[in-house]
Amino acid sequence: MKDFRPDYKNPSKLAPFISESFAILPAAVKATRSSLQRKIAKEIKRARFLALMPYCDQHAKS
Amino acid sequence: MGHYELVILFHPYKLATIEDALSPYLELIAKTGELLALESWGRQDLSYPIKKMLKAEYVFLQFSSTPEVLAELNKASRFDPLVLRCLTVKLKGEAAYMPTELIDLEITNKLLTQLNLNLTEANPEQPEIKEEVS
Repeated sequence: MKDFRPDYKNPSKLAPFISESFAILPAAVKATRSSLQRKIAKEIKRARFLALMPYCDQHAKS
Repeated sequence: MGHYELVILFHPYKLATIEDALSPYLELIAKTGELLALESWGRQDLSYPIKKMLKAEYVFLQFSSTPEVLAELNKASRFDPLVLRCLTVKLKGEAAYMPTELIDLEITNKLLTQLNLNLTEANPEQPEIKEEVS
């Protein structure tokens, strides 16, 4: 955890920080320190923009 | 001179070849900076439809550039009919390239040889795991 660097290019590493419905989990749930939580949130949003991760579980299928 | 990353999502059906679609961007980058790393992530399923497309051809670039050229790059990609979406990220300090988990080695190496780019140092093949299997 100490040398964990969140990166939008490695979305599988970000997967533990999103909920079942793909929302970003609050820092309290994962006991993430606040500086890391900010980076994680930013990288998840980048991955979402590139469609490497979904925004939610209700996207249109076609 | 800053270091930047650019991920481009190309249209899966309008695209003839990746190197043709990519060449205007590489020319722009070569104007002031240099290309530091190039990766193809292959044709990936999108997590949600973009312009009614469910797949896209992903290309990842790492390069140095001046802010003026970066603005040109952004403008070029915005009006390019082949581009579904793209993201530029400014890196803090120097770029430190590490192969990503999404890399498609086969297409990446093909692209690198076709474009005559000398980025083999930046793109170390990782056959170690495969060797153990065989």
